[in-house]
Amino acid sequence: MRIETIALFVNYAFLTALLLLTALAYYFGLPGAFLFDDLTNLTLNPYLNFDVSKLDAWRTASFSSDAGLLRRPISMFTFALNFAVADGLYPAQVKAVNVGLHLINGILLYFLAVEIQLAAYQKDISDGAVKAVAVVATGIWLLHPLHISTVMYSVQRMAQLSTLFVLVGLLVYFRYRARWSVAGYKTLGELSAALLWLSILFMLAILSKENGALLPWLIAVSELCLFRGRWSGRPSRLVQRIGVVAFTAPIVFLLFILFFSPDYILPGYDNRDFTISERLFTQSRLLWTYLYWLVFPDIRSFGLHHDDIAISRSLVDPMSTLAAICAWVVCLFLVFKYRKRYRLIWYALLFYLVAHSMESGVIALEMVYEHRNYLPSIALVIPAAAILVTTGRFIGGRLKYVPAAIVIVTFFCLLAVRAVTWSDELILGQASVKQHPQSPRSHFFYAVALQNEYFRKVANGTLGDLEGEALAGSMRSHLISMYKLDKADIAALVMLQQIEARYFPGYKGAYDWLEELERIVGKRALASSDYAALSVLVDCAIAGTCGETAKTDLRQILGNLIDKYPNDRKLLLAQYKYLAGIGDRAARSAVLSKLARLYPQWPVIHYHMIQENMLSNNVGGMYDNVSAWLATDARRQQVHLLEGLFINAEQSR
Amino acid sequence: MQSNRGNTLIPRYANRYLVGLLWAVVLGVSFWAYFPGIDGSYMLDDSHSLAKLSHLGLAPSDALTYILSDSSGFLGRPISIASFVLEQSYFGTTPATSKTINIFLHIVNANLVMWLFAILLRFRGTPKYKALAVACASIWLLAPLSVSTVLYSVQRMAMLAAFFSLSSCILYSLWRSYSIRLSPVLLVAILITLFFCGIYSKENAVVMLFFFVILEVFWFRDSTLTDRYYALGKLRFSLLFAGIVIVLVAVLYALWAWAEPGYVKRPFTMEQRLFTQSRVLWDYVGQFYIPDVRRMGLFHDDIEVSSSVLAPKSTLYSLVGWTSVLTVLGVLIRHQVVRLMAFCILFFLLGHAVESTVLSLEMYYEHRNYLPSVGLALLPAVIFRSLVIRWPELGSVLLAWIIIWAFYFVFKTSSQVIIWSSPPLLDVHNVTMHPGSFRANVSMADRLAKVGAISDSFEYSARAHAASLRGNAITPETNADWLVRDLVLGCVASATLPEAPLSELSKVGGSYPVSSVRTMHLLARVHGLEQCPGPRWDKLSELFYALYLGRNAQSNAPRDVFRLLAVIENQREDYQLALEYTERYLALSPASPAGLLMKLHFERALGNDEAVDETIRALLDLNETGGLRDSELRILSLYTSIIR
Repeated sequence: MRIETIALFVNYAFLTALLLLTALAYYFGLPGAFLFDDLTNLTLNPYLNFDVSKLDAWRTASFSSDAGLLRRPISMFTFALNFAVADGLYPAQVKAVNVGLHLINGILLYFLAVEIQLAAYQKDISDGAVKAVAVVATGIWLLHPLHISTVMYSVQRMAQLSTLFVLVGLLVYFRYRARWSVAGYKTLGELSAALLWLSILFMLAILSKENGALLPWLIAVSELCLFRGRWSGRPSRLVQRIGVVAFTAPIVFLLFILFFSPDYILPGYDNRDFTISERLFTQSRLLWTYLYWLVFPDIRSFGLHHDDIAISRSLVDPMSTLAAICAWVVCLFLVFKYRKRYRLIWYALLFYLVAHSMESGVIALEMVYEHRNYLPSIALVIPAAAILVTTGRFIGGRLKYVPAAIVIVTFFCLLAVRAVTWSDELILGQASVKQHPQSPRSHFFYAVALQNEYFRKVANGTLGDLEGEALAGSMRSHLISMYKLDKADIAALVMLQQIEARYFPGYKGAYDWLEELERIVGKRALASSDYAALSVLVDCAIAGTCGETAKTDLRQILGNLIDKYPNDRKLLLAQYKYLAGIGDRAARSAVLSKLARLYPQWPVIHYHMIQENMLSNNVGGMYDNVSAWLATDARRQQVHLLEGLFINAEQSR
Repeated sequence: MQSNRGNTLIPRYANRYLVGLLWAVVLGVSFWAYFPGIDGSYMLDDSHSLAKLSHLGLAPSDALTYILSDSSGFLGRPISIASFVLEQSYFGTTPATSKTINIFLHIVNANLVMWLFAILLRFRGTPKYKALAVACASIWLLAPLSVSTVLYSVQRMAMLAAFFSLSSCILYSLWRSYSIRLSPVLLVAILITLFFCGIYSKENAVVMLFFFVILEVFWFRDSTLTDRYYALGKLRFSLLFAGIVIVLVAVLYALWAWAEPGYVKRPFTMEQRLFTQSRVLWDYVGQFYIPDVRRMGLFHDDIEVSSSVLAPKSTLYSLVGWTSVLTVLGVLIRHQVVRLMAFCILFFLLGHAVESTVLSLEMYYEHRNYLPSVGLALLPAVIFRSLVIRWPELGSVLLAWIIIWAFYFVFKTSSQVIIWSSPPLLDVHNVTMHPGSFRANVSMADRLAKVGAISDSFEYSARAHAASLRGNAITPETNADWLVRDLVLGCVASATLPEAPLSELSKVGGSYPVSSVRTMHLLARVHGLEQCPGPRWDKLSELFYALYLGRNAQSNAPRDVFRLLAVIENQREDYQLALEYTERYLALSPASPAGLLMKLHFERALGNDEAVDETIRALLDLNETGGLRDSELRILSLYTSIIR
């Protein structure tokens, strides 16, 4: 008894040490800036800059994300809490909460790893071994350098929270199921209680991020691989069948959607430069890449952006696609064949694939992100830890902890190095460009980081002339690299135009960027980054910071685009803003009317219509617009804006 | 009784504190959700009951007169009015003050609901009864359906009635569950006091009597009395309650006969109202449990009246639905769980007995659910109890689900409160979600007139008129009422009496051209405030003269229309016309002190001494029979002293 207590104490001591190590490593990364999607979801999200004294403002803040189908209110609520506590969103504070969540997830993983091993081995393994493996698995996962792009990428708290609730859900399932496998359920109430608890956790998970929807499927994987229909101390064919059905049902459902209602999925590809089959081919390679990164974390290949990855245009282009698919078939076959001997590996592999099924499957998301491995890596670390612990045992004696210690210390060092890189926008940008010279996005974001640095120094009054020139020159050079890598990308051209007009007004470079823009627009489907770039171009053309000819060129560019996409709402809105900027009232009213006719549900339209009516002092029209807005705003997201509108109108009268 | 299964992880005393903490959080959140609503304004009936408060003098006799003279309900609702008078005395009456007090009262009522639930659930041996009482009371407290009670100042009447009803139920339940020791005489005395306080707050509190019956029959039925109260005995209780039931049936029958004449002024019959209410009650249930806040609002006069069992078809479904529910309850009543469910459902139905049955009231108001919805909030607790007694392991998770449900209500309520906090937004919301509502359109027309949007205001006014002709829940509006409203709107919007409605008004005729006292009151008001002075008032005066007083005049109007026309003519200093309108008013209401005082004023202005004396005599006669209020007597004494 005493030895067991000491063992437990030692175990928890190790676990605590790992948590502290993790916190220490991530501490280096806390000064990092908000990045990429953080901006649209957090800092530029007007609903997150809210009046915390109003309860309903918490509601609108919580439902303010456009990122997912369900708007991820739980995650957004935590960001709102961040805002309320610090009276603003500050990267270090937001990231510190993410680190805290990562540690909690680590603790949950420890308990889950214990449960998974107990379910896999039943009585064939000692308690000490189970806990040792659990501690090592937790250490590997907590300190894995790949997860920095989840933990230090603020908005990926969504993935963390979803993982948290999935882990709790799995723990609840394992606790109940372990009991049932020995003695069956005591009452129907116990079964119902389990289902009701799981449904709460499922709801919390999907309301954090839609990946949480994988919880039932992961439970099915656990049933299929670990419990295998064991019920009341013996195998039950019925439960086995339920497990098989639960596992295959999502696959059948997905196939059904693909064959009978592809419209749910295919339209997402309209704005992508790849097709659904190209995505699936590419993902077959990427799943191996992720696996490689997890097993051999070569931080030189890591980064925030992986848009330099080659897209598989067919089964044999590149040839590695075919190899990857064949390797998956062989791997699955082998693992299935030896599933009884290597139960943990069988479980880990299925868990990994199922956990990737949402973001690495048929949905038209971007190709690669490291944070997609946050949940899938959970089960993989357990067999990895088991191998390390077994190797240690094989070595024996005092050296038995060495293999695990080596891995953990190595991971800690790699994580700390990566954290330092992530602690500074410029260093991160520089590292990304260096590690991914073929990634247009890395060049773009490095240029943005340089520009931010430029503005910072100007604001501080510490920018010397030479340094300013050097920064501007560096920006320009990376944007040109970006343009050369992806000649159809609008963002690079817009920014180049801005930079040259601003910093090099007399300079006549090799290109006329707006002319180039005019030439390329419409040659490929517009991506969301293109719309953002066009919006920036409209603003700078109106402000006169994009050169003398920008206004005229922009008219032509927008005209060409609208000829090609006459009903594209974002283009029409850009045209409206442009016409508003140049003061063409009749034309802009016509565009706005067209938008209102085509997209009566779009809140932006009502906002601009109210503005127009206010300008023309048409109070009745303004009320009509508010009414139309209320009618379409089923979620009441705009209710505070409308309330404020009336208060302002009252004050101005 | 079943013993509660304690949570092994958390000590029992900690559990108690946790429940207390949870309830404190719920109350805090509810106050937080409701608080922005104090920025709203007075609305609808508020003006009738509260507008005069600001003119109230400091003399106690004035206050008492005011308290006793309200005509809102059958009994005058003096306790509610007293609360407004007290509010005026201590804080000064503003919408914000009234609404803040309502919010506090709502929270007090929620505490009573929680207490009642706890007593009832403990009596029935419900596991985790305290946490369950907190969870279910939270549902009631945070239900968005209550927003239109809490933030509608005058509905303090309903809230106070609920306060006294809940208090009486708690007292009865405490006594009946042996939690307090009271002599039956004292108990009955307190209950009678609470009953009268309730009905003098709002007449709905009469349903308290039903609640005692169903508490006894469905909740406490199988609990025997102790020796101490054996004198009453089970048999005597049964007889007592059988007697109460018979009396109630008799009252309902009498009400039926008494209520029927009230339908003369409604565009629907009593049968049509009852058919419609069967649908409305289902809608209330839906709006309580799964609220669609977009449909909620102040006005529901666009509701389709059920003209028969099959029109619309949902009437039949609703009737079948209620019949089925009651039949199932009746058939399975011997089961304890069904009896408890029956209590909840009957609490809801009987709570609606006054406003959703035979009385010729309007069809639909959300605030009617304030007290009845207590039964709906208790229903999940009864279901919980039956499940958890059988399967104790379900307790925590079911509680968690109920709390999630309450949390879902928080955000629904908070968004509704924001809409109610902004009068223009509420107007837009009402008209957007209820475009077929006469009242919503009129309200919007008023709003637009105030901001000077005259053509849009006329547009909504026209929509209101069309809605009144199209719908069957409210009386169709006459053309003249529409035109008078347009005159008022035009006056407010453009500071000129508009020409178009004036010309149109010259074409109207018939026996009852103007029937809306409210619209005429507004006309008198804008005239009195000189919002749109000009020669067109002379033309309007001629038009009304031709309509009501001229040689060929055959038209009639509600008496108050004549009173208001007299007021307008008085403002125009045409005392002869004012006197003639007053005579028409007195012809319809001969013993009206206000009419006689007006007559006195006009006769004196015209120098008709004989008529003055005659009128004074009539007023003094009236005073001898107690027909004059203090304020009226003071006015009379003013005239008599002037004459002397």
